[in-house]
Amino acid sequence: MAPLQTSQQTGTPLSPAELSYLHTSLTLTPPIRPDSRTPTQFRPLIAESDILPSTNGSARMIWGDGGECVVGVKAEVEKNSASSGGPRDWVEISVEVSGQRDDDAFLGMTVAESLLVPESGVLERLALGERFHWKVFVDILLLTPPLSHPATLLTLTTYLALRNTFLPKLVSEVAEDPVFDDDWDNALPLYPVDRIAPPITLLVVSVGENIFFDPTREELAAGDVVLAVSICGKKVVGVRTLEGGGGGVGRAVVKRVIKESCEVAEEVFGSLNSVGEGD
Amino acid sequence: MTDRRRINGPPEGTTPLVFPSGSTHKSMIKRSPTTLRRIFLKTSLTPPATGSAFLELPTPSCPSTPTLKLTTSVYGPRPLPSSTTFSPNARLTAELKFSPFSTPGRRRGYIRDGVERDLSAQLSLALGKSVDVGKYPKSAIDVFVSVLDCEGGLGDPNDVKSSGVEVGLMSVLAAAISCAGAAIADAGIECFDLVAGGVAGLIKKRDGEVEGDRIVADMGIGGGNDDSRRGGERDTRITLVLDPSPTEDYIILAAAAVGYMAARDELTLVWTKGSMARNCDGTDEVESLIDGAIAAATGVRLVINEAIKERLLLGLNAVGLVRGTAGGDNGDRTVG
Amino acid sequence: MATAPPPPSNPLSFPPATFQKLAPKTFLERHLQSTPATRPSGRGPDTFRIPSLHTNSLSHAHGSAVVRTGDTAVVCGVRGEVLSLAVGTGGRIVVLRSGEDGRRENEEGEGDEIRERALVVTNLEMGTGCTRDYHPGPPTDFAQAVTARLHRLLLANKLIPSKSLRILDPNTEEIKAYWVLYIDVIVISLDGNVLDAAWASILAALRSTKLPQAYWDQDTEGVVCYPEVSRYKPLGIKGLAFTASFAVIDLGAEKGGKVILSDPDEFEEGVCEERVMVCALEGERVGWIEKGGGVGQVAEVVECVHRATERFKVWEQLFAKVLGSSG
Repeated sequence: MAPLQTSQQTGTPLSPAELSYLHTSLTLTPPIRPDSRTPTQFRPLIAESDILPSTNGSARMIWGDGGECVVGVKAEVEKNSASSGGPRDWVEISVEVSGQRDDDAFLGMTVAESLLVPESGVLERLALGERFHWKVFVDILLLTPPLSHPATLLTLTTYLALRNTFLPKLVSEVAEDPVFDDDWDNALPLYPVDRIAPPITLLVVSVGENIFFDPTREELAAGDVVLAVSICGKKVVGVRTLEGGGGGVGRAVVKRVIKESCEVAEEVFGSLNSVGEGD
Repeated sequence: MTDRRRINGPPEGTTPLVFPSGSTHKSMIKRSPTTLRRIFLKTSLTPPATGSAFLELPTPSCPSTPTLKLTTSVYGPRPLPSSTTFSPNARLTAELKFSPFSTPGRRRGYIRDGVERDLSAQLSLALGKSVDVGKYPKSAIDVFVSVLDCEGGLGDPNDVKSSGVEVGLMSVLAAAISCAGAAIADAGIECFDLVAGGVAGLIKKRDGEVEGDRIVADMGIGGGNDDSRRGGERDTRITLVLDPSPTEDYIILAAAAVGYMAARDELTLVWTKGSMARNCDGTDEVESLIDGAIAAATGVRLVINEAIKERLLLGLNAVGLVRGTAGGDNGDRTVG
Repeated sequence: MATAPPPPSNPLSFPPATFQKLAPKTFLERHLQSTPATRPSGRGPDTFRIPSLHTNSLSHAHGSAVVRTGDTAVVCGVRGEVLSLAVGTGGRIVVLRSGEDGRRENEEGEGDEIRERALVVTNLEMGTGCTRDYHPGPPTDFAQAVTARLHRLLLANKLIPSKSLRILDPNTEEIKAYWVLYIDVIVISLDGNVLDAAWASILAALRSTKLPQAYWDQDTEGVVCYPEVSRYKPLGIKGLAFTASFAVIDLGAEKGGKVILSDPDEFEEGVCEERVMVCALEGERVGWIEKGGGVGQVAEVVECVHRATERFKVWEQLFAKVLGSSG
């Protein structure tokens, strides 16, 4: 295999001949992926939650290709101020990729857009009476960026962390200054089980008639189109196009990608929710 | 940190204007949901550039209503700087910048922020897939977009908005795609097809009624902020609107922007915001949104065609010779 | 001036565009030696490009102008923000020197507040793809130099009355805050002489600027503006001032001496070293003269001043036509 270039932006990692070979093998029915996975199969990963005791919620995930991501969620009480932008400012997301000077604008935007989608009900749960609210800081740290695009790794870890985020229970009245129950056992989950879960973003690459999930770097380069589909519950909350492939794709392909993503997402939600149960 | 290479304001910092009450009023809707706004598009307004275009949404009846204005210039194909590695294809980069005075609320700085970087990345993606990059090895194609004026709805903290999805950035991106598509054609760079941008949104009226194909427009200005969430009767009055505007008075539940090549019926970019149910009484909201955005882009494409044709004829008359140019004239009448 | 002596039997010939690229100086000289002297753009040496002006086409700026001279086009937007003088605002206590806050209404006191408090912020942005050489990113030396010249001109000409930038407490008539004018010039298309176009756009944008009526609100300890458009007030810009830029080329004593080119374009700016800039004021007065890049006779500068006063009339008429109705 051709040596991988270190920067993600400097073109494809493969030579044109290798790219063409990969493209052909991916268009076959049934397709052959270089690592012999099925189209919807994810690479093995290690996930754990509640790893940082000083946070309200945290998670860590290690991807098969060496990507490692840690997410910590901290909550602080803040006074409502008229000048700030209202509930939209109540959640602050920062993405830090180690070894990269600028954070990737795309990653932060994707997470923010899907997390703050109206009707997810999160912002309502952050209100503390009339004058105060929780301010939630979601710090996403990519310790070692994966060789493939980090969007999936990042959102899956964020999902786990948010899922395990607990906020102390409010015991004071609505009009008073907030006072909290100091028993952590009574803390309330930020995302209760019966409510809409946090969103995840799946990276999907389409090659010919085939659709692949969790693509590797090489598959991203060989794809016709790469979409990042964000799913929250059973709803699609965001679709973005990513770098990769050449030329446009028909609308039928895009629609099919989105549809299949929803189906796969349900499985992903299922397996993510089982994380931590085994501990 | 202060920018030492520019003249900065007072070190104490300044604050944007404060008005006593929420005085931003939304304009009334006079379009039917499937009508696109008129577009003014003209190419070659930046003569030093290889290709350029200017796009403007003509100001509606009320002159204080914000509108969208942006200019694009394209340079290239020109040689890549010698420091870069070999590239078998042309490298297309796009830079989108908001002018300091282009947005409501706080003045925008000169240094690129996250929003601008994100839009630039999406723009270069949408354009890159339409250009025949294989024709220009070791070359760079640079696209510069300056937004001079925009309609707001950018999700800035100072933007007064009660709820719903911010569609302003999508409008800007779609307009930038269309304008840059025209500019690339103006530059004579070989493309697979012209790319046009389109936006569609699922909207709910604030407190008016949506009836069939028309929206009743006799509603008070600026009212309805308080009772927008009244009753939670969300799914009753949802319409698909092509080319939604942040200045119009409705709540946008979800929106999609696409980069679309009409002649090839292919998408180069998809961007959606807001939650879309998969199967809500038989219809898929994602699919109808994307179809809507494609329809909007198809409409815009006709304008691009005209602008380029006008320019081409002008050039042919001036030079006095006819060449076999790739103008993408085939299939430009595919209005959905 | 035979830079490329061709053999007379088989002359080597270039299309004009190639000639221009290979030997730009010779190209310009040959043009100017023809009778009548013509520049590559077809203008005479003393011909300026015809300007055009539009104002208030931007919705989020308090005042704006688009100026186009030939292939140089600039957009200027003026936007007001509030500088509050309340103690401790912005983590800094403002200490006023004696007399600084005294209302000196006489002529020379006017500009001081603007200068000392940096109430006018001028910037010029060229990283817009306006020409081949400018890329996004930090401004180039040239852009910074032009910005500094514009800023200096604006302060030196004292066009903005500081009275119109003060925000008073309605009860005590005390200065509680100031307006800060952010003047941003975006160069859309650059074909030489950006200074004249940018300056004219700044002036037109300032004259078209209308700021909302603001007052100090005791309850909120802040500045509040009236939203009614009817209460927006113009700045009351005093007088007019217009710049005219020139490039000077020396053809040599035997070929016609020095030629002064009015309103040089990008190509001429690249060839000529010697520059003159004259800022003409009303009543055939001169506010500012810059001259550099070479040694010239005094008559040369006098000629420039004459041309600048002529140019002033052209701009004056244009401003009267476009801005006359809007006040």
